[in-house]
Amino acid sequence: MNKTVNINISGLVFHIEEDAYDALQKYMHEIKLYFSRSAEDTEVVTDIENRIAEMFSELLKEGSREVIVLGDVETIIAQIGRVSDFQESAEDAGEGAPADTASEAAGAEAPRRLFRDPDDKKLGGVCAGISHYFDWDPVWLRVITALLTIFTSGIVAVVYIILWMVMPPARTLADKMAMKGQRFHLSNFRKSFDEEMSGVKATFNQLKNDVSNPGNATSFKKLMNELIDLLVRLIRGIGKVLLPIIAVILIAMGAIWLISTVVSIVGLSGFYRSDLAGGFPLNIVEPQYQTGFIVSAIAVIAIPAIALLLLGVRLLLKTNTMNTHIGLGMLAAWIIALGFTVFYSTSTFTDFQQGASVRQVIEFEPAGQTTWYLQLDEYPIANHGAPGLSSEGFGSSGISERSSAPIHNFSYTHRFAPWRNYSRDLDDWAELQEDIYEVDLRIEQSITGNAALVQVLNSRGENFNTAVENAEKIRYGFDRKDSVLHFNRYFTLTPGALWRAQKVDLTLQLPANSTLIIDKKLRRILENHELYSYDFGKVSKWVVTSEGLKPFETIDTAAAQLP
Amino acid sequence: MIVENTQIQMRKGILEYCILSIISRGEIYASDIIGELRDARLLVVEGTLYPLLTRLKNNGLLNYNWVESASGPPRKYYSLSPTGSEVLKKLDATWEELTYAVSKTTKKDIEQ
Repeated sequence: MNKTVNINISGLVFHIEEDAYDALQKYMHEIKLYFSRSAEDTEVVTDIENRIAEMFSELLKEGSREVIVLGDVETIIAQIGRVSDFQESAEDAGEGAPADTASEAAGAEAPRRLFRDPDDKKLGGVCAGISHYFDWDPVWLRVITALLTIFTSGIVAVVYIILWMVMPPARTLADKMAMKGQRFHLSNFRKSFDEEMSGVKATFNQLKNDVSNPGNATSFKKLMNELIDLLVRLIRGIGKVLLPIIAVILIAMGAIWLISTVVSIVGLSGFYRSDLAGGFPLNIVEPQYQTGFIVSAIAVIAIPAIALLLLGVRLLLKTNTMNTHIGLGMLAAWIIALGFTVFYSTSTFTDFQQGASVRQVIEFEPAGQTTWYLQLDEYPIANHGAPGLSSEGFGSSGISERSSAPIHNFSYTHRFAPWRNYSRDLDDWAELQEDIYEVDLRIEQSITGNAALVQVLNSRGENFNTAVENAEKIRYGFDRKDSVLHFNRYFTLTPGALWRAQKVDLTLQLPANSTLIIDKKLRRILENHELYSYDFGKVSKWVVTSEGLKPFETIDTAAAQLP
Repeated sequence: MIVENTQIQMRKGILEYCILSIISRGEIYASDIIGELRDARLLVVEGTLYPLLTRLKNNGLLNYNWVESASGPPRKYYSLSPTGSEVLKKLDATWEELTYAVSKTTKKDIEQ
């Protein structure tokens, strides 16, 4: 038992089963869309409707039936032909209509699409296809591609292979026509928008009719169907205008995303090889995880970028740039990569759970009330001790041997090598490095009356013991020659040590009323806030008081004393 | 593609000529025209014929009469208009010339 619908075609009433009705309605909609350009076309649609009515009558008479079934609709569609058949025969058999109506209509129905051209190929037909798309001469594109392949040491070849994979070949005649079809143009979008909108109008009018003439048994369902149809058409119409804009935005986003990923990979691998960055940020991750972490992180970032790019290209060119297998494969790869990244990240984060600090006191033999000279040394972090993975993974064994020697012994050899010169283009990273490996120094009055330097080495770890171990991996170069104190601006980590938010806090305790001559540069690590209000350049000598440092002598007075 | 373009150009003219010739034999219904064209392997689906007939009619080459049908709505029977007959005569002559030209040029090798 099947439900039937009553329809009126060219003044004849037919009983038609619901599924057959749906198929017929869809077909007629296609026909009306195809022939919707002129008054001539309206006549054609009427002719076709008459013919359908006639064929239905004949079919019913032959079969002595009363109801049209889906098979009947399929029969008449085969007889009259689908819209795609009209297009094919317009191109294939010529159909008879010169440029004015039919072929132009067919052209408008088939905007240019990107295909590989199997008829004019040297390798995969990629260059030929692209040339067709942009109306170029394929010879020049081939020459340029070949030259670029040589100059980019093969990157263009990879691009070519990817295009080969994603561009479909023009197999059928319709494909070939579409390959050279109407140029992609904004007015085409307007045209197709107008077409959609005329469809919207038709559906809306039908809807209005149905609302004003209720009482039909199937009216509610029909009404809903038409309402949904109207919505879909509206969205499709607007979509046709917005689509190229969205596509361009997607492509731009994907490209920028991908490029920035590549740039950061190049940047990171630069750090990987050189010791400039002192291993950070790579020394956050344990060495055995590093490669896996980097690969999975890159995959997590790059795969959506590629997907975005392909989606944009697909929308813009209306070509199927991504088949389901590649799409699913990319999704699977992304999920796996994400899993690994999360695993590595969490196992790394647990290494930051517990904090610990190690306190070391270096007592200076009683020096009485002398004047202390405070100097700041700045030399490349990597040049002494080479923290992080660098010396273990890539450095020569010589570096690790050297770093086991007392740090201040060889630190002087690099004293005049300002590390910024080595890495001018890496200034941002350099600043990060400064923040991460810079020590803090406070100068205060000694309670005991003895001079001493208190070093507090802080670190984090999975538990207290590992945190202490990590803290002990800090190497800090401090040197004293009588009353001259050499501080280093940066601390380092032992070779192979992981970065676990290590920090060095120094406190220089001096007896009351000790005087100090402080190197201007030292201000960079000095945490004595009471000094900030003074002009460092003008104070030549400082004095230790219970309220911190005070200026003892200024340049002006010193200058006055000079002559 | 040059081959296909030429093929399309060739068929275009011939199709119109054939349709006019079929109609010249007397009033005929569209689906009977498609039957003949299908036998001649010039066209396959009816949907492509209707726009063609409408265009020829609007150009004044064809007339049509509504004829009541036992099965279904009234049918459009097409016949040649006087203009259509004239056009067909000219096309006949052109076709003679063309067949002569084609046979002359393509079979020259064999004759010699």
